[in-house]
Amino acid sequence: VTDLLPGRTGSAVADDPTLLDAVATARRIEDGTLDPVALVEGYLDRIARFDPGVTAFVEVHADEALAHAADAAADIAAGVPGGPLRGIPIAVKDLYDVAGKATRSGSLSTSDAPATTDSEAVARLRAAGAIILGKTTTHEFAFGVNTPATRNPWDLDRIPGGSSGGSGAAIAADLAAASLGTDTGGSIRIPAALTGQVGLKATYGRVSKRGVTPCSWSLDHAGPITKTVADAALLMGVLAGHDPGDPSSVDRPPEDFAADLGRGVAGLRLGVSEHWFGDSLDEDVAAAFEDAVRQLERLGAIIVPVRFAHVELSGAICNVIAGAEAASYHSARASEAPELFTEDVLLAIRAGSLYSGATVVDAHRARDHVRAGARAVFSDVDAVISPTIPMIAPAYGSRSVMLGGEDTPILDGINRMTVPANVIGSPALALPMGISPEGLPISLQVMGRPFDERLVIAIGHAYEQSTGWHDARPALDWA
Amino acid sequence: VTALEPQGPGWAFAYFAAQGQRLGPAEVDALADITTAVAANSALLRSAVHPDDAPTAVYSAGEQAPALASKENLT
Repeated sequence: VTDLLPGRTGSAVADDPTLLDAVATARRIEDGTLDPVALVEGYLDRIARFDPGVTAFVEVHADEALAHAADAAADIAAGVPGGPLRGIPIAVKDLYDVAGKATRSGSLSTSDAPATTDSEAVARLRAAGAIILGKTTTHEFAFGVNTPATRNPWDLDRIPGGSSGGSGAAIAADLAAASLGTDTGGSIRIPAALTGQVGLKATYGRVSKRGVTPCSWSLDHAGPITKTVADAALLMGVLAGHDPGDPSSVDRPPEDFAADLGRGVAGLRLGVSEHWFGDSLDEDVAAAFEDAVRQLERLGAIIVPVRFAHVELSGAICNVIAGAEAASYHSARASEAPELFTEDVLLAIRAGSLYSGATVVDAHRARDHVRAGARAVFSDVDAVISPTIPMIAPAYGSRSVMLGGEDTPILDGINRMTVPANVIGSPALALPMGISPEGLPISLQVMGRPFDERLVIAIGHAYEQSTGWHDARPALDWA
Repeated sequence: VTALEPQGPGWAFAYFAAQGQRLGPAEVDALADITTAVAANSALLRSAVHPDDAPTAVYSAGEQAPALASKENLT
């Protein structure tokens, strides 16, 4: 199937560096065969051509990006050692503070005053040599899965997912080499899945959220959306690390997240749960997942049926905790200027404010049950695999989806299989698993034990490299 | 069900009004759906917990990552 689609590899794209993944781009910049200025110019040209249709960016920092690219080129010419992301153009969800730029968080209710400092994640990217290309769209305050401003590059009449919809669409259309998203109930993995890219939500606390507009403090994660699993490992190596300025940051020693890329899956026990993760799938998604299971078996993995006890509580737990925390964060703003919020987000905030204190505590108590269920599963298997999303990208404007034959609110339908990893806090990776008959991406999720990102990455990389689904790109023939 | 949990759209309207919150027409129209969803989530979670369940992750001393069960504890 991938032979029928435009790809990111092969002779046809050899002369267009914007189609390269971040690892290959970094290699070519360092060996002198790719000029960082020409690379940024290439991305700016693509943004000018394709972003009017997609609307992935809220602003493009062309002059700054070109200046930083020129600095990188000068350093390379002078033999100055560089970081692992030197010259790599990265797009940043408009929830992250970027010094000198306003953080609007997708909302009219926010200030247009520029941030005075970079968020920790952006600071880490810059320290590694990355070039911030611009800021991408988000569902308002990251509280939703549609990202209404943005269209899916595979089909402009479909949603790109959210809340990091701009960051997913930007990578799918090759408008940046990689991007940053945030994930409260799946908001990195959902747009990665619906746009055919790779999204990595690391263990809670791995990546600092200082300088990132919160959606829900105890469920939020920061992380990358990339073209390949190896790219996700590369970016996670830069982003992860203790930040005393973020109270949720975990103090762990630095890790090379790419260290086990060649490990393969031979002998690994991979759990498959029919309950919750397999009982409401669209037919094409179920078939693609069955193929993926067989492929991982062929690679040497041992497939183990598991039952993930209490996982069905995850959605309610997320709704209560995220709703209450969002209501707390937005209470003054929603009281003083409700007209500046979009309707769906304002209603979610209102609902969050209606939960009693006892119910919020119940949610935390129930969260322990889900966590205990995960402990039991991960005592038997090395990782759990499932589809990332039960269906392909819904039509633009959808407020509900069909889930197991029932009309379901779009949030509850789309994040059904992603939200458990937020409730547990464990790492989860979304990567391409197929293309539907409609020509839309289908995604595989790999969920691992807390702090076991390296194994999750190894599993994803082994599957990815054996199938090639990551090479498929949208035709973009609407431009 | 506690005394503070929403009893329906009229209750919710009064709750917001008492707090000085201005509700737009769309919000008023949605109050029934909101309170139904809130009540359903509350009831589900209430039924899921046992009286002896303490929310350990929230209150464990020195825990930096409330969503986290350490790998050491898992294996």
